[in-house]
Amino acid sequence: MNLLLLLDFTRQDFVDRYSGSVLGVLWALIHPLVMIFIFTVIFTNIMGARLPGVAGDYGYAVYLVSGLLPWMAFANTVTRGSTVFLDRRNIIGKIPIALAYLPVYIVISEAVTFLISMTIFAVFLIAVGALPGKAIVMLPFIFVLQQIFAFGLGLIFGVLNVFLRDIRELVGVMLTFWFWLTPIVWVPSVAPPLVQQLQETLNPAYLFVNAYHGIFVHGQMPDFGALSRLVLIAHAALLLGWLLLKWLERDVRDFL
Amino acid sequence: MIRAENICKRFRLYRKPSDRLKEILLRRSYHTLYQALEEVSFQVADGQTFGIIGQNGAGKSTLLKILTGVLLPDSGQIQMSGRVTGLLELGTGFNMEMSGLDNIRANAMLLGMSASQIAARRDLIVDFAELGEFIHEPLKTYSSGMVMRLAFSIAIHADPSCFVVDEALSVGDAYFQQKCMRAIQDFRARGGSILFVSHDMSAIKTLCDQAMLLEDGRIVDIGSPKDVVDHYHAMLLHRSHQGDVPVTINRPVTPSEPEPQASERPASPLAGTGEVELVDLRLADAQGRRIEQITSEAPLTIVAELRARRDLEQPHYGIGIRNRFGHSVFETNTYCMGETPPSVAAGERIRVEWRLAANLIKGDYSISVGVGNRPYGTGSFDEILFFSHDLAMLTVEMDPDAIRYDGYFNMHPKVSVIHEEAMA
Repeated sequence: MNLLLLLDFTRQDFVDRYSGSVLGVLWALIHPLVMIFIFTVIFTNIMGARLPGVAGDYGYAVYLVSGLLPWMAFANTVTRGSTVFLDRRNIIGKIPIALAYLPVYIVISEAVTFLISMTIFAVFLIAVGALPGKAIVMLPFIFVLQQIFAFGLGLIFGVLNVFLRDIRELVGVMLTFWFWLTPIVWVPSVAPPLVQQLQETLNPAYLFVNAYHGIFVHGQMPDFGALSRLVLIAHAALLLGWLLLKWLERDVRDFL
Repeated sequence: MIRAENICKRFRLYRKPSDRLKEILLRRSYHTLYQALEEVSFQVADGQTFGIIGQNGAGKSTLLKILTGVLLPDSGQIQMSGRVTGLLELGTGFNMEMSGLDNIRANAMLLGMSASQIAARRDLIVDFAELGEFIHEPLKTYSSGMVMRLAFSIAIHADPSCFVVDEALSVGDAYFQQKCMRAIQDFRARGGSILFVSHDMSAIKTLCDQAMLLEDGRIVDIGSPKDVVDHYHAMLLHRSHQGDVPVTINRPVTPSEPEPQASERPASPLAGTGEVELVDLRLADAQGRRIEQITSEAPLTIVAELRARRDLEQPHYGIGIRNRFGHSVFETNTYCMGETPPSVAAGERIRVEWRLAANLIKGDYSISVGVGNRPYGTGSFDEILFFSHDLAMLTVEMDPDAIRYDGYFNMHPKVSVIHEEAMA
């Protein structure tokens, strides 16, 4: 299993997703564009929502999009990771392929989508004059950590899903809950203090979402205590996923 | 080179996959075991063809999957000098939506070829597959034979150290099958090993250097293809008894190469109930003299003396002649000839005399004898009481007075050559 093959899987992933459509890969641009447009128009122009403590008309739109884009990359990676072995069973059953590396193409593919969305977001930020400060250099680092975490979770659910197909649905439900429990659409300050504290201690997603918010909304460097916790959690998930796969690989292959 | 040592594979059968998780959580067993392979060891040298035979469910596919690395064995070791490719149930991970060319690239990459290798081989693969303009069309528009052409073409050009030939090859038409066989032979000549899995026993005998017979995941026999195939046939005869009579199967006596005392070899049947015994088998010429060698075209008599240990209500007697590759040259039995031999009482001695014309091409032949009871269908028997190959050897010398020919036997051709003027 080499990088070339993974990149080809990624390429094929995009081809498959947009094959037969006239606009093709352009759709990868249209989706984030529409999202940014709707959030801006509805929340900023129609509802007139303002972010507490942030000047400027577009504060809330920036807050929403800067949390939502990484979350989508995260959630998609986990969801698709959880079905990767079943989706690719025709290859796994025919060609000796390292199972642990297979989900990497999903991580890359989602990273590319994220990059495209981020580019459009950057254009938007330039247009409204809300450019983030030099804290932006931390963005790739946080994103990599987030995707390592997603990869680990994807592996765990992917292995379990081979034995229990309900896992895939459970992952969907879990991610919906997780999305609404994480301050992406809402602002932490509106929640009771207890919930805010729980975010810090119990929600790994808050660690990276909050870091993005810091960068894009407040122009702050991320909190390094929080980041080092994210490093630990992400790698723990990765290790757990990898161990689970090593332990059950024979069964996974037998069941596929 | 391939070396497999003590490969064991057990499948745990669960009623549903989630029982595996229940098992881990509750620490109780929810499976039944199925031993797919047990202590399978063999070795294939470079440039050798190794045949694997056995009935459905004997473990052939599981073994191939383990060799290709798609399944992991429970124990045992595999050493291999490179990658294994083959048709393996057609289309190793093809994407039906993609064109032939794209599939070549994706598939070659999956097999572990580098970008430069793929670029170098692409045209060779396309040329070999001979798909014409279809190579640009998505695979879903292909016939199964065309998919097989593409799969074979990629597999043989992927620089394998071992190539697996299985029944999937028979999807191709006769022309392409021939082309495949040539490619496989070239591959073998270059030092590649071949694993040949087939139900075509004469192909196994012709093509393989060694063969292995699997039954319920165990190696029943391993050795020269001819012996192993005989053993397999004996096993099938056993099966046709449906277990109503205890049958013993003996491994064929090995060296079938020239052996002077061949005709005096103790008659241990390949398969049989032991209720009929071959007392004597002799070959005789027109004058009734015992012979081991005969001139082609001369009359040949084969005499089998048998003793029955029990009553046989509808006995039938069979004879077979096989060449040195173990291919049947001629075989028949009294049932197939429309004869109805009288019934036999226990303890009775029977002499069966076959008179044949030995118009065979020069070479070494061996004699097979069979005794069955209660025939049905087109030549099957409820009971096979005695069946054995290579009971006697016969050397046929060329007849200096006959025409010269090649093939199996003299069909005594008559020929006329007529010129066009005479036709009008």
